Amino acid sequence: MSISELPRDQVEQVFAQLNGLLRLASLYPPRHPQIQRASHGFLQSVSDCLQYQSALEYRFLGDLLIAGNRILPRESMMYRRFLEICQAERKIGAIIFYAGVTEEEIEALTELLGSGTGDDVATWAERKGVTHIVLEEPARREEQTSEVMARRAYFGAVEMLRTVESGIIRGEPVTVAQLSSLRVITSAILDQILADPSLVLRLANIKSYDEYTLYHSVNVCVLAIGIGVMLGLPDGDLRELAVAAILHDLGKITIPLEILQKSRPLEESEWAVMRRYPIRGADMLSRLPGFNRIPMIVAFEHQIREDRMGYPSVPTSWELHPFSQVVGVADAYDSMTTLRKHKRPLPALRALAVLRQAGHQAYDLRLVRFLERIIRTTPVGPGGAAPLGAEVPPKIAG
Amino acid sequence: MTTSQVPLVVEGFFRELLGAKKAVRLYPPGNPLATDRLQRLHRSFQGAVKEGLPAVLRVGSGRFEWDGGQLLTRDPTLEAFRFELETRRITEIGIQPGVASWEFRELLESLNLTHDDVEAAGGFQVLLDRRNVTNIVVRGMLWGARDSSGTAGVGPAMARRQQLESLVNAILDALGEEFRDLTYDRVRLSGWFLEVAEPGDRADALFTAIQMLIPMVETEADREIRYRTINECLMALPEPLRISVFSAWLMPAVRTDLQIVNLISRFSGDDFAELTGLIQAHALEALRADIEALPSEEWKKARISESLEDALAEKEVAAAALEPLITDDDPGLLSFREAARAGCAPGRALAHSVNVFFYLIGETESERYPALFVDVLEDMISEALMRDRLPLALRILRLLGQGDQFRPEWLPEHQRRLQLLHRRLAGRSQVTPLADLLRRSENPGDAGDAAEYLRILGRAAIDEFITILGDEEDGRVRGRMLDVLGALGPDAAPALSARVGDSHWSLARSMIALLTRIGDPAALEAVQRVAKHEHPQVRREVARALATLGGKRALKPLLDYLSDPDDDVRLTAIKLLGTLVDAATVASLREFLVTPTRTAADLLVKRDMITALASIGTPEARVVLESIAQRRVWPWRRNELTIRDLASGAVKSMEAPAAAVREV
Repeated sequence: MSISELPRDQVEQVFAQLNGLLRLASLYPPRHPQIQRASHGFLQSVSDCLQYQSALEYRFLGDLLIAGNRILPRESMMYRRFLEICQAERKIGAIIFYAGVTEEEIEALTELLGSGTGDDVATWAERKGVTHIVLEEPARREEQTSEVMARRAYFGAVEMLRTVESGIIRGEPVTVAQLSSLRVITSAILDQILADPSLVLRLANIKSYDEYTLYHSVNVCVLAIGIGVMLGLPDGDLRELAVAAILHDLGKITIPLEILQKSRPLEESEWAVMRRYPIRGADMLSRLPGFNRIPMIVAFEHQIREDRMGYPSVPTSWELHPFSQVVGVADAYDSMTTLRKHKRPLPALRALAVLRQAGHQAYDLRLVRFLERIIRTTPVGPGGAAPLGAEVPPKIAG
Repeated sequence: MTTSQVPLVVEGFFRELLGAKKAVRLYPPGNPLATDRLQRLHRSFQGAVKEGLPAVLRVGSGRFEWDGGQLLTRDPTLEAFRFELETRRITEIGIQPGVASWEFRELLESLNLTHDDVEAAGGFQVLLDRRNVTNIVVRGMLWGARDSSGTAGVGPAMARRQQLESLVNAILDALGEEFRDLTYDRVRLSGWFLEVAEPGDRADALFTAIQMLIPMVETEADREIRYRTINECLMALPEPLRISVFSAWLMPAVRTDLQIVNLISRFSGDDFAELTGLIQAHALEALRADIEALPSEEWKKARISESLEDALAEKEVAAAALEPLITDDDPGLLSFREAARAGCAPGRALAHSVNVFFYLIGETESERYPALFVDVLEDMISEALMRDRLPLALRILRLLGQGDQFRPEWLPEHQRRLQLLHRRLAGRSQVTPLADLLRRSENPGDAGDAAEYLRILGRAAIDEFITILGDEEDGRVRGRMLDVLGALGPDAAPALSARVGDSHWSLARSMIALLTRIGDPAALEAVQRVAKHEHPQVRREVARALATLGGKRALKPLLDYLSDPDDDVRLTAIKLLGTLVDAATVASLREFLVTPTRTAADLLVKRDMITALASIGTPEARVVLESIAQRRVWPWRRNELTIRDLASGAVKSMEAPAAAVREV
């Protein structure tokens, strides 16, 4: 069983205990009964995990806590201070526990985390005789931004959305904590894209027809970030755009699967249900006190066209938020390029042509041009293969 | 149903079981996909029972068996399942027709556990018993099964075997972990593909590697990401190798290997389009035909087939010239950037969200009054004030007051809540932000909006506003706040009247001045009550108010002010009396004018009295002035001389109405 297969609760709980241990170490002297008790409990939990796998790895990358291959967004927020101390003060970028870890080694780790040693981590391990805990130095900035990291963040977003979805299906409201976790994850995606803009298309090409809505939401987030970066929006605005985009289809969770996945055209009564999903999404987001309201606006408006047709029905004087327009274009593009029950995936340039043909009544054509620039200038293949429409002759009439 | 068809029934049931097993493994409890698959499995089982599904299925070598029949596991997926059951030492699975959907879930969750987990739990049957599963029985030399003595039945041979298995498991785990990492890392996977295909033409080896990777990928929750990595690496292979892998291996394998179909179904529209440039058309046509013949979901086959058809058709389309790309300095880009940035400003986003909130109120699916929305709108009013968006706060209040979005059956409740809302907003903590806004504001229109805001909230809010005004030290802000009260007009009069006797003399004076400005005669009584206020500034303001609001009724109190100890009050009263043409005034003025002029202040008062008499202009007034002008005065009494000269000048001015009395 790999760490990604261990029950999530268990992985999170072990880290919570480690954090607790560090806090106690800052309050009490070494070998204090409180510390010994916590240390013992921690050892027990680590040993439980290590029954099923050879190693338990926690990696710190900037603001992110990664267990194995999985970002823990909630813990990344909760233990921000821990991550900061480890990376900035103790120069630790990863803690890896191996089967056979002893109480003495846990004590040594607690001492190191609590007060530091002045040694580099390798010297410390040798001096203390620690063999079942391996500490790694923090990753350099350029190492923190990689395609693997971006894929982790992508999947973290899917998992987080899945959690939100499960809660909604159980009739639970969306929580501020969930959305804050999504904020952490989307920020991680944004950071990776800022470091390597070619990731936009690479990530947006990940599709799923089983869980269309979840993957589509992340793709729209990625594409919207791409457009936002091209627009030169400041960092804070990009983060808002990312959160708004990933939540744009939240209301779809409440739409019955038989309507969402229907392979034939929808009946009028089914359309009536379908048309309500932006309202339902906005409704859910409106119930979060203190949360930024742009996601609610975008969830509500992203299906409204430039001529104010679409849904929900609004007066012609209704002013669309620019982020709703961005998400609307990204939404249409990703929808067209994804295999679904009722339609085949279109190639990127063909999808752009369809968007253009829909005209300014449907979309802000400036945004279509921004998207086109991303698609035509971004290398899509590994090692930087030619962008679409560059060296390869275009197959679709513009 | 004939016995020859039973194997098909068994196979169909196992396929559903495998689908559900995967769904239970991949998705958390409650996920619609997992629930959907479980329900499908249950329905499939019920159908299969009717069609002759045997009650007990045995795991044999290369087959599943039952009394009177068998199913050879030629299909790799079924064989993999059979092998898995065998390695778990399961020899029989018995399922009763009364089995419930949740019992299937328990079985599948148990099957998804590792050997070690099952062992730790005490074995399969213990796991199922513990979960109260009664309609499914699993038999065999199961992991964790205990002997009659209650101790684990592990002899020396078994111990060696377990050690060996642990070692193999550890190696497999490590290998699996390595490949897991690989399918997340495009660059490394590309490198590995090339390495496998060395010296560059081993498409067969590469195909085998792909065949090995897909089942591993398929069991991962993030398989879509891993599939995409593989596909990207495939599409990035050097062209000869890519053509060879696709033409000679992947495409032919579609006929026999569903896993390859799974891989191809993950191709994007662009991947399909690119394939048409690499693969000969007849090979793609053959691929289409193969896909259509597959025992797979119809819609999936149809969509892949359509994509290939599109790609083939577009191969014929001549390339059209692409439009030039938008540049960084394009005016459209710049203007959209500005609009986007402006839209993110908190005040703008707030205003935008108000529109959405009111829409949501009208569209909410709940039958109950949308109290939450009203609460949020209340918060938005406060936020709007804090963000200096007074018109927005006012708009929210007005829209709530109109109640157009509220259903008729909610209106009584809405009215009740609206009253409570107004009461809360009229509290000190809620009115203070309004005053703070005026402190920051440079917008002349804010006074009118603030007045309207207070008018909607009513008397309590105005009272609080006046209290805050009383504590305000900054003269400019006080001025703005007074403007607001002035703009309120008669609606403010009751609150202002109540504060004319305030202990803060300056507040009292301001209230009286405002009442004067508003001009509501009903306020006269309140003003008269503070005619003897201890502070002369207040009394002077009272005098002005009396003259403006009271008309002739103000004569008596103004005359009383002629004997006020404060010169300014007396002067004010005299000036004001001059505006009230009345014979009674003349007599009173005369009485004062004939008294000795001892001080400079007396002189000033008398000067103003003379001016007042001149403006009264009646014959009685003229008589008084003439008597003063003709009075005999000792030359050393300079004040009296000045008075006489002033009176003389006033008489002349009465003859020539345009002339004015000059300064002393």
